[in-house]
Amino acid sequence: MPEELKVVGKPLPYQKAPGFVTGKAKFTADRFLKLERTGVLYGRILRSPYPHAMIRSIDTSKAEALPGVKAVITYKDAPSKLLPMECSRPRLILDPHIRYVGDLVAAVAAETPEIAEEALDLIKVDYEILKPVFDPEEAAKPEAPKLWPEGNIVDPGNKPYVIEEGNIEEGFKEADFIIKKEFTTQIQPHMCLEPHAYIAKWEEDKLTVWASTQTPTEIRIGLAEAFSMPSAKVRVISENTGGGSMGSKYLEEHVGVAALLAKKAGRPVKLVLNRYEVAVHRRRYSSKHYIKIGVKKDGTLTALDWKSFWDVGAGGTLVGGSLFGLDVINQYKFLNKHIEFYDVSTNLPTAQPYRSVPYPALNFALESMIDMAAEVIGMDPIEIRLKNAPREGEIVAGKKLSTFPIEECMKRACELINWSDKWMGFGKPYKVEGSKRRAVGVAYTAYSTGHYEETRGPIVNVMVDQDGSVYLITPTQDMGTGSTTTLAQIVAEEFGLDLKEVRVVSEDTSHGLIDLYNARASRELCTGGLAAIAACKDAKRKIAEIAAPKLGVKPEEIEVKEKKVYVKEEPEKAIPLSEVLAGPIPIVGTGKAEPLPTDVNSLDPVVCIADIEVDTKTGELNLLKCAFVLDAGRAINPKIVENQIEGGVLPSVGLALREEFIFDEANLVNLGTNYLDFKLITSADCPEVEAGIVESIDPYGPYGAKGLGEVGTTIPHAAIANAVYNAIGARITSLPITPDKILRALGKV
Amino acid sequence: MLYVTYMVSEEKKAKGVSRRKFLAATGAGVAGIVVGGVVGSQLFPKVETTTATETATKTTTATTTATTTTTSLIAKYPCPFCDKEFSSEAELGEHIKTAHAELITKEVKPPTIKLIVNGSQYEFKIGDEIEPNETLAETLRERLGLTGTKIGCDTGECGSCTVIMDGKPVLSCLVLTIECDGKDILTVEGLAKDGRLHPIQEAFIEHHGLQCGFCTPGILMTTKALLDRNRHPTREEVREALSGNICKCGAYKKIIESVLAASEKMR
Repeated sequence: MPEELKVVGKPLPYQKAPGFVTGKAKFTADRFLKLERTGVLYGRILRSPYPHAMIRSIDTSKAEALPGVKAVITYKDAPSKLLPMECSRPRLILDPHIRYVGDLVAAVAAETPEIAEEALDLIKVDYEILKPVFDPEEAAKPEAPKLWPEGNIVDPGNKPYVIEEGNIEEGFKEADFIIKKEFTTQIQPHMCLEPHAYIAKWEEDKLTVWASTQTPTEIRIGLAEAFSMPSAKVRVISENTGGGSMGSKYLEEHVGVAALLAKKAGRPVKLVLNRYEVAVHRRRYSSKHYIKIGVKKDGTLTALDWKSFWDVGAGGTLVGGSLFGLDVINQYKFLNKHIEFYDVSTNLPTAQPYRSVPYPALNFALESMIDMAAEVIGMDPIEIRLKNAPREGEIVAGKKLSTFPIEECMKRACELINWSDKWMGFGKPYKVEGSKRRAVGVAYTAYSTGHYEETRGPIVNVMVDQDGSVYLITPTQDMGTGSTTTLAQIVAEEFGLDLKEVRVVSEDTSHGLIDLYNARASRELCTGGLAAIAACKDAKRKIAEIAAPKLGVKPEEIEVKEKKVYVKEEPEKAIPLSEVLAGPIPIVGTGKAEPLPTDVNSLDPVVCIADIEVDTKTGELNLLKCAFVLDAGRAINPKIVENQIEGGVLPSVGLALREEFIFDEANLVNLGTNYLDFKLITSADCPEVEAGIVESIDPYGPYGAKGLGEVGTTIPHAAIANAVYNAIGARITSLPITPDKILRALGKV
Repeated sequence: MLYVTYMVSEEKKAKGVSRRKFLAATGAGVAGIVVGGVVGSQLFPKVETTTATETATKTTTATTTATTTTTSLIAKYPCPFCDKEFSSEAELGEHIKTAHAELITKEVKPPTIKLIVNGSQYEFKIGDEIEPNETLAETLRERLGLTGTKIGCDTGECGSCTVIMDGKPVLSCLVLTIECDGKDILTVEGLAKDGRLHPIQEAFIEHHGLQCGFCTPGILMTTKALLDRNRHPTREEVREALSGNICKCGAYKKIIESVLAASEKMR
């Protein structure tokens, strides 16, 4: 590792920023404009008004006869092969089995969006109405209406996800105190700002798709599979993605619909979802928890018994507790465990990973319980967490834990919020003024760093041009996380160049490279960065082989830096890179990330302390300040780390305060599907977030870095909930913590 | 025209008519009137909404009776001078010409719209080069290729489509282009001058005031309008001014810092 870093660790501007601030950066909907006269057609979707139904018949003849309509598709047109979505259930592009209000029934492509929409009204559908089920606990029962032939429990074998460790009954016998509680969390749609947009165009048997997506590779491979064609014949262009809001823009039905419409119409088709469609398309699960813990007077956690039900909607898969719920449970050393998590299908929109997936629900329940345990035994909330958190080198989930500076993170968070002055004890505000009470609350978690033992990460190329400038050609996807910039910083550091001399090429799958994860699970920096370093080394090795005869040394003795080639011991005798690369052919190095060793566990310790104010008269809850500290391993770009923390905290604050999607079962209406009803945190009420960055230099990460894109969303709501208890002396066990719940907890309504 | 705009939102709330469909009908009506030569009257068609199943039959009838355009579906055209109803704007125009000839003035408004966008003049023929139901956001993007103006919600909730019109920030997805005759419009593409970035643009780059970049153009235009009327806003004033611009990535802290830095740069 270089002793002095010149580019890595510097708060350099986003590489993509100039394109964004000038309006020149193109997003999918910015292509195929009317003035370009491309012959593009506009797609619109007919959606189900029923939550559960089977399509008996569809009559599209009138829609097809409407002048300007060029294609109408129904389930009869869909390929029989499933669209192999990795983060929701593989499904047909159009399916006669309707599973939620808003599910896809048919689609139209027409000369104008208006004609397409009018054609939708002309499609006559005969539905066989089926009994719906909305509650995950109900849906898990054997007698519940079945959404899928194999049953509603999503986990393998139609059985819950179970973990047994030690002896749970013995664990509770050893405990001095046993605490039991129930918790619930609400549905939160992703609501990414850029609506999902796709343009599909067939040229003979080749398909090109412009897509706003986090996962170009998944779309390419998935469409190839559904349409039974080689993946080399599918090209995905994704220049910029206007946020996935952390998990809504994967391979999904609509890209298949666009491709199918374009195929049938024989012309390119542009499909841009409207705001309602974006909202009901994908969302976060809701969940119910029955949790019981045993604790000794000294703070030892003897037993954890946790049963929970996760509503994953129509087509959700393991996006509830079963995905990596274990990591959350392992953030504490419980001696005995019994875990039983049910991810269950319901007749609600499909749940899909949303930034930090199961962490928000799990931590709301667990961190509330830890505070309750601490209060019962009279221990400080910081102390009980430090006592039970794992440490570097310890065995967690059977693997040795890499760097884990929990003490430092906790200390920094306390400093940022001025904990010692504000901590008054459980149920005690630090300030009371009229009806207003102020208090602090803490939460902690351990988040996976995006570096795993498997090898599904990207393969990247580094191309060195004759003039010494370097291109990183990568299948990774930057949807706003800044990975373009951080990866370029890593490559610039490797070659001793300025950031501006490294260009990242990633917007088109024509490069043939694949990344089976893409922008998911906080992976881009870690696996992309390790792959980039490997590719740089490969390119340098190739350059050294060319230069070795000229310098009269072995290739291993040669270094390539700052556009020069030299023998390591004699940098003063350097020759320019342009002399070595005299021919017209650039050098290309290829690299892939080293997987994490199978006996190593890599986690981020994360601490959040919330400083809140509750008005006991109105029930209003206000987050005054939020200290959020994580271990970045190494902050490749500290400003980007801060931005990820500050932005990541907001969905969690929204989860705590007000963001909620509700399905009105009586009227069969989705509520909270636009930015007026679904109240996001805005610039006017966003809290003051104090981001703290600890750098432990993880030996397994690129330059010691850990992935952290999702971390911000893991715990702030849990810290807020604990702070609310300290402000009002009553525990609220259901999110969001709205004024009515606070007033009810205070016995005022 | 204001009246029509008002009707759009009220109709949408009350009956759940899609805005696009309603605009299609109202826009067509307005265009018809302009062509018919009646100036100054406020004509608008009555939109009838029906349940999904009923719509099909209604629409079919409308299709068979409507004479020319495909945009006049699901609408009836009441005469503003008597109570008669017509199923197309052509029939209504014909009726006005014959039954209310005394009301037709000689002054005929040309069916063109002039816009000044980023300093350049544009002229569009209504119904030919722009649709009467077209929003300003669509015209900027689809007709002029100025795709810096983004459409995030298309219903005036997110601020991504903010442009500056005659010095004021407006949501271009809520404005019909035919309402903008003679207006002076500035979009994000017009901020940089002679290849030099505007200080606001520089500040957002330097201070990391963005993430995915989709909300950025709208936020820059709101910022420009704010700094034009208040060169040195306080942090609170910045927060308030930007509260109609959603950044779902949540980069607000750095966005606010960028605005304050831009204010300093422009000092």
